Amino acid sequence: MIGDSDDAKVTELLAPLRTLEPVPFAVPERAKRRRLRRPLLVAAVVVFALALTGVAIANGVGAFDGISAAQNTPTGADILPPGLLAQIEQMNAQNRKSGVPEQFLPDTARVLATTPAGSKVYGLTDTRGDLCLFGAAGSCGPPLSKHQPITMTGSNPSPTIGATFTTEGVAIDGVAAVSFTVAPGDGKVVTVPVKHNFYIYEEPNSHGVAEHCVVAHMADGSTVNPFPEVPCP
Amino acid sequence: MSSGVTWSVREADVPGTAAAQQAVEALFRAHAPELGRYLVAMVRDRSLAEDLLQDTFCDALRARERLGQVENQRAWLYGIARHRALRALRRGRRFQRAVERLTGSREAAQEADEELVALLDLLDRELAPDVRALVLLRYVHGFQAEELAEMTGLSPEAVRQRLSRGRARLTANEEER
Repeated sequence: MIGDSDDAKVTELLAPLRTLEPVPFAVPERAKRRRLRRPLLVAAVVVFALALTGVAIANGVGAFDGISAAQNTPTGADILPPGLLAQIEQMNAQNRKSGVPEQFLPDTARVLATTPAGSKVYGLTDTRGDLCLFGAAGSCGPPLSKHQPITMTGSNPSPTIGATFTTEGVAIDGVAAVSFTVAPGDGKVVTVPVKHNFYIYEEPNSHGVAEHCVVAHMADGSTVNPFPEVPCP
Repeated sequence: MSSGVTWSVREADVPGTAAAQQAVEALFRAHAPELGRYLVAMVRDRSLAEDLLQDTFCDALRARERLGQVENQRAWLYGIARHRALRALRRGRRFQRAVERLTGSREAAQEADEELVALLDLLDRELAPDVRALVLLRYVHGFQAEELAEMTGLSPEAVRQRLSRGRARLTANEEER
């Protein structure tokens, strides 16, 4: 049986580790420098790919990897509506003004899904090669992978009074369903099926503002925790 | 499509969330030194630990809009750092175990260096990475089992069992010496 004396013994044993010199950390300059390298690398890879295959740069293919619903050749249906296009251009201008190098690439837009209410969800990429989504809310992040196979964006126009809480996202091929709990809420686990790489959950009269305990359920029966940085209470 | 799109969750550099970003930066600055020590002890490489610290910050920044729901923000940051460290170890991104990398300077006292290296060797040899992460968090950084449970997704009892196994291996090794 191990007791308090072992606790004290291990604490004492490991005490020298408290003297380790911390590694330097700088915010945000260093982080920005690190991020700057990525678009350059992406650009180099794209140029190389162009030289080899002659594929058009505007396709922004990498951002949509694994998403069958986005593998079509762009058609007129994929063109962004004027209001959304203007908003994206405004955000690009704001980024330029504030020194953020990333720019959205509206020409890469694809319609990824249509919600039950008839709204379209668009996906596009940016100069960093990220996957960006415009639906009930917007989000941007690295292209999806088997470790992070889904996006998740929640929105509630009036959580204090209570309104419809919407969670939606895109999933790579092979994701069958997404489950999560709504917070604040009763802790009940909600499971939403993925259809054509898209899922949506709507909870009327909700005070919900966030999702916890998110799990992606794969078609082969395995599960993935796509947001391990967010603890499950 | 409504005219206004609200941004959330996944991206660090989107406009309109400056306050949330500042909150994460302030929180991170306060804990960066101890997080850095934890990462160095986990991966035993200062360059990699520095990268992982930056990655931890970027992860926290991406999740900044969820910060409001986090009760124990220090534990939340450690949870992110732990995940980053374990992932790096799984990927085998471990470099040469040079003494100066652990201590930060070649001029550091040789005796202290040897003690640290021996201690890290012991942890490395006796404990699997996930148990090592828990042991460091408990005995060097002072987290309770309940906090570790929340951080890792394990039950408090499972955390206690792993800590117990880790303690047993370390104390048994010490007694043999």
